[in-house]
Amino acid sequence: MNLITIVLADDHRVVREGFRALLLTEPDFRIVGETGDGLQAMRLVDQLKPQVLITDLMMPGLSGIDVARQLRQREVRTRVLLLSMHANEAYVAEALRHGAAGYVLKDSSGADLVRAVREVAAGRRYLSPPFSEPAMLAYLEKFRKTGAFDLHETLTNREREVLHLAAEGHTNGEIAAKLYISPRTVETHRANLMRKLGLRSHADLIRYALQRGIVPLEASVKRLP
Amino acid sequence: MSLPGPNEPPPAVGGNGHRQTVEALRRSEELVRRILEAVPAGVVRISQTGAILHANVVAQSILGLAFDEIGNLYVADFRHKTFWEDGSECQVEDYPVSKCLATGQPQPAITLGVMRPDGEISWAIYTALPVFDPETGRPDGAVVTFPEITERKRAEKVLLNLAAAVSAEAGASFFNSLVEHVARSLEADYACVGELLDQPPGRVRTIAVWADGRIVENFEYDLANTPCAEVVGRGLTSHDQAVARKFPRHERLARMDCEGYVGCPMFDAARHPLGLMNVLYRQPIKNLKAAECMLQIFAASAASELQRQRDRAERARLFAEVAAARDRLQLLSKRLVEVQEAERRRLARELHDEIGQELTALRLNLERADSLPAEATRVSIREARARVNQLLKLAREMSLDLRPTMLDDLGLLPALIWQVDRFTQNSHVPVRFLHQDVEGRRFPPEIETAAYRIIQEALTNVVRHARADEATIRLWVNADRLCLQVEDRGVGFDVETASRSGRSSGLSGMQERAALLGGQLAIDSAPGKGTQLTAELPLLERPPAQP
Repeated sequence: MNLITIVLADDHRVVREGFRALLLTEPDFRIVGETGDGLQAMRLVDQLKPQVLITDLMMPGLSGIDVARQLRQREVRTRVLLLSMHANEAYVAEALRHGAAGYVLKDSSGADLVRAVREVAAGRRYLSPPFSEPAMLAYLEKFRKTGAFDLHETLTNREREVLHLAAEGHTNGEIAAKLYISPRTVETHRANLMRKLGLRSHADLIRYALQRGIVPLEASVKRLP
Repeated sequence: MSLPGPNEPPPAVGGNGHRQTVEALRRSEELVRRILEAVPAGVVRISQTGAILHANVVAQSILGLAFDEIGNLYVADFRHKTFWEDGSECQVEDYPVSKCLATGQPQPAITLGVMRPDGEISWAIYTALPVFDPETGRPDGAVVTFPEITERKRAEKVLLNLAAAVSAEAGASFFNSLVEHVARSLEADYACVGELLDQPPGRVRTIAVWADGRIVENFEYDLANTPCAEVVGRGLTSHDQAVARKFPRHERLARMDCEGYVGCPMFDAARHPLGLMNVLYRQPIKNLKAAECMLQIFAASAASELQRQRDRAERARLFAEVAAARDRLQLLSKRLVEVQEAERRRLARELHDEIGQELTALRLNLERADSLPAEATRVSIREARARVNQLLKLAREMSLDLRPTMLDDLGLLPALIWQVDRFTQNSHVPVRFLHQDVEGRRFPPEIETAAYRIIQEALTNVVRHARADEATIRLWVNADRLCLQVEDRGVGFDVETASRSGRSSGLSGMQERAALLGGQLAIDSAPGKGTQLTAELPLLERPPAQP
């Protein structure tokens, strides 16, 4: 019979005892270590090299998600099964993103936990119902394409107008007259847009405008002193 | 009896040695004469009998006498009216020289005015010293010295007039009264006081202008190509004539066809330039020295008043700022209480309506189970289990609304992703959520909370007010600031009107959140143009910004 070695980490002793009793009803499960602390869980995994670490998501020292992340970084082969009271996609998504193999709700049935241990020990993923891997992947996918964007998008219309006119070499006073606003307001818009775009000087501003094609080369060169 | 006058040749004495002595004496006398002429004060030598033996050019000018008259003049015959400082007439017996001749004692300095033939009164401080014959030691007349103080007296008088005239004035009327007095005292056709503008540099705004006998409207002008530029750049500047020709591009100088110009800079206590005061003349300036002297006095007075007014304005501004901050704080705490109450009402209602209903149904389930046959009991228990699950879900949602624990547990980005997902599920408004440099990062809890709540409120507005069919969220880190932006192409609104009306409690709440962290929140919107809300929250410790 292939044994499944387990380290159990939960800071609530009563809960931990309950889980232990439950797990020990399975003849092929061996609980090789127990702790109530995240850092201690890391040490136990290092020492005992269990097949499965069952850890609570919220724990003193180091959260279950952080434990999962660190174990993955160190390429430890122990599979991490997170216990959580949060039936919430955000938690599940974070757990999966950081390398947890399974996510089990604390209020799900005992059979659910046993199944989870067997699934992750066999190298598969397991999520308590109502979560499913396809649904979670879809959730993660929704925001995967959210990466970088162009800081230029963050400019307001006014800031774009001021940028354009400033790049053409107009003074604040001239810009104010063209846009029917006060020179002081122009100054504010200019400071805001430069901060947003990370520009330090007027030369930076012109260079930026040229690179973006906001003004053609001749327009700005003509007006440079 | 006739005394030898200074022009009489010395007695002729024969012999070579004598000639040398006479020559030496002549040279010595010439030297004394030159020294006397060089003294910047009147000097008169009087004989023991009161005859005027000699008077230098300054003395002639002060007394209004030509030299040839003096040879035959006795002090007692001096005809020009003489005054004490209080304006009463001074008699010949009271002249210091008369007393000195009578007593043989030095006379202390006194101030007297002499009305010259041209009608002007010249003021000087007179001192008389007795002279003794070096051989006999007997009294031999006196020397009278008297530096002129006419200009000083005039300036004093101007100042007194000024003080009397403008001390009661305040604000703009002070400067109006001042320029009128400057023009009248200096007999100028135009007088002006102006302050330098910070923005744009090189521009002056007048505070008061007196032109041809009346106060005229204020205006702004560029310093370039004006004599005023010299004043601001170098200090007191004057042109006693032909100034209009020297500055042909100065419109006013040309229009008035000015000859004379005097300008004096005004400084604050720290010697920073505040502005300038100037006078213009259609005629060449006769007494430039006096005009310069008086204008400096006026300019100093104007500078201190301007400084005072600015200080007052600054104090008023600070006071208003403090008062506004206090009002806002009061409003905010009032709103906070309201929001808290509303929140409690909502919670109470949810507890009663939803959790209470479910619990009641659950109790009915369980009560019924007792009296049901075994087969039906199983169904009832299944129902009860479903109700317990529903209760758990409700309790979790309420707890999340109260405080999104995932913000603490997982950080801003996962919490926002979840919030946005839930928002889209409930509102059916798709959200484009863009972010950079925030993945895997944690920020100070108060920053994460503020960002989370601002986005929550902004999304609520997108649905409630903007009626937009899409929204975009951007979240990024710029240097030492966490920045976020919520944008929609909905109906938009007039920001001015909204922030003035009470409707914008949500907006001001977001603004307060940002300001409390030393950050800022800007809203760019207009009816029909959508709304763009941008918040910047500094990640480094710094005091709250001025709202």
